[in-house]
Amino acid sequence: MWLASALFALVAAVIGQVVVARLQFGGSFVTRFLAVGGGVGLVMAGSLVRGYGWGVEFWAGVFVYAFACELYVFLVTLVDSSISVSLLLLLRQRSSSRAEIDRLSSSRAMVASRLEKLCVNGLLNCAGSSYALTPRGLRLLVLFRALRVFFHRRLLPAIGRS
Amino acid sequence: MLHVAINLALYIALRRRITWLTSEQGILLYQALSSAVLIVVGFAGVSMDPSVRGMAGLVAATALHGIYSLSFLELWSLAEGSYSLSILEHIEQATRQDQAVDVHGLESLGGSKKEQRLGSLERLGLIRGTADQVTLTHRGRRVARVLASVARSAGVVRTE
Repeated sequence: MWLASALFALVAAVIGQVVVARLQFGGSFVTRFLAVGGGVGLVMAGSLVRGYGWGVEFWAGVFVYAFACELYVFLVTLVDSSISVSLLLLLRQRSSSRAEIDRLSSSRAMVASRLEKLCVNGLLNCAGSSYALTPRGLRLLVLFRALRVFFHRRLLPAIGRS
Repeated sequence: MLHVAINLALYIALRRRITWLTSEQGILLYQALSSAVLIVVGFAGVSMDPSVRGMAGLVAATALHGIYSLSFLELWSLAEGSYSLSILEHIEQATRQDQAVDVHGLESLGGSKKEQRLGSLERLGLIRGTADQVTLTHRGRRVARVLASVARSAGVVRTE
């Protein structure tokens, strides 16, 4: 029952996100899914508490739902931004020569697309052809460099404007 | 929760001695092994005293470990430097040194990442390359179909 609730809630969250996207309320996929998924999750948690109290079945349902949501968000962001996924989807349409791959997924288009996404996501200030990090973008960079030290023990270059 | 805490503490202790643990394969194997140990030990415990609550407890622990492992892998891949983060880093350095953004350099970086990824996809058996053509393997076609479904469900449109 708790497992079925968690899986049903995931399906409802995915469908809810699709509906919200079609209604064009705005926001990124992650924002939309967090809002819809959070709401669905609360409803599911409420029904589990009524059925099982705060017992282990409640936590099993909540953790399964949370893991499934995280996996879904991970897959979507992977599909949205991964170069490897871009190549797989391109080759799904037809086999290609290396030259065709370079033409269809040109580096220029990749850079332009990434810069646009970074601007839309509030990580860059974009004015014509000049770019600068927003405070949010700087915070992300600080996190990225701290993670690099944790995993690879590389030194941190200095952050900040001169 | 205790298993997750031990996993993290062990990783912090071992990564300085075993550098392979900081590679993609190392981290994947480490987390997979940790999950397997949890499931085997948990299953052994549940089989000694089978109950629905026991199974629910095992599923809860496995799902919690899944959340931790996936988060761990996501943080590691951030540390590896995605293309977007490399672009942010370059722009920050250019701004700090009062230089123009080197768009051509960013394009070259993108090109080399593309070549690396083609190599990785071939090693994973998802594509097959001859002198002239690159095609999806049977496995690659299945993976691409799943990814396309995920993209459709989230309204993702790839423009690159």
